[in-house]
Amino acid sequence: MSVTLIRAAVLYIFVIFMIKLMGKRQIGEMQPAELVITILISEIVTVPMQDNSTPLIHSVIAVMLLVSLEIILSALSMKFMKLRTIVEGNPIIVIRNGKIEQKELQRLRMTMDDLLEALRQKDVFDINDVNYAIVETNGTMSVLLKAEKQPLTAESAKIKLNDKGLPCAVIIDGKIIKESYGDCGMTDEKLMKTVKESELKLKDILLMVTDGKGESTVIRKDKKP
Amino acid sequence: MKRVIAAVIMLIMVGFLCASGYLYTKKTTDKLIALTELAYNSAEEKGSEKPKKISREIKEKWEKDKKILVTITRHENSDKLDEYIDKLIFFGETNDMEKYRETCTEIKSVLCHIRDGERISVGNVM
Repeated sequence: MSVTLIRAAVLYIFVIFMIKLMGKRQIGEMQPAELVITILISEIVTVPMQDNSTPLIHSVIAVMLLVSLEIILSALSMKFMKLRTIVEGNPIIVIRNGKIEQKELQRLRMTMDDLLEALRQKDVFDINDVNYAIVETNGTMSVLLKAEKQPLTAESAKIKLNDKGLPCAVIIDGKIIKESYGDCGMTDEKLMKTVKESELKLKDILLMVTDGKGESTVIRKDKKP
Repeated sequence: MKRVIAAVIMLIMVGFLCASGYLYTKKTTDKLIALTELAYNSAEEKGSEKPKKISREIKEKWEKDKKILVTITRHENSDKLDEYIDKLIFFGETNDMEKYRETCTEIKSVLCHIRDGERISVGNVM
């Protein structure tokens, strides 16, 4: 039993390290090849985790090889366009100038229900509003609405807005996050001044967010009953 | 770029691990096979102390080599070898040469299986 425990812990740390090495990506944003590699890794690691008679090195070698190949292939496909097309494929236009490309839908084995569902997920409920719809290489759909259906923006309404910059959390759960200082021009002095103005102790602050203009929002912790 | 360097280093490590694993398995099993063959032949000399001596040698060698070999080969194989080598010593001590030879054949068969399992061949790959 204790051997299983140690093996599982070792494999857990190893897999975390390997996944980190592969880079951050959400499941939905993964290219098909990346998704396959991720599933394969979990499958390969499961075997020695359950079966103590299989040497760990077997799965370690397999995972290391898969991760290395994945990284090298993605680095090469960044450099070579043709390889990228082979590995990742091309985005496919399924609605062009408001007209459904039925041949492309057939090629993608996508039904009208699938198309309408993907559009609804993009908050488009009327297909007539769509100018272009593109199925991306990772399977998600991008939609460009017709000009008259596009949401109003400050630019199109000719309104000038002040850019407040990136709001960043400088205190979380009573702890100062110095790593966020640079993004919003915060300093220790400014932070302590804002805390003093809020009439709260540092440990009583749940969240303090500061934007690029130096405006801060302080949320205090609820008192324990 | 750091990731690519790490990936290349990992590929080199994988290559090194595979090559060293194969070479170690081959070297160890070849030596043990040779000793087992020697033990088999020694069984022909009735009343000789040789079978006892060689079986103990096999045991010593196996105990020394198995520490690394179990990290490469499946544990069922090493468990089988443990059992057969203990049997070999017993049959050597009791002078049961017929069973001694049978056990030698079984040990050789397991060792060949371990060695051939690491060999790169169409059969193994497929």
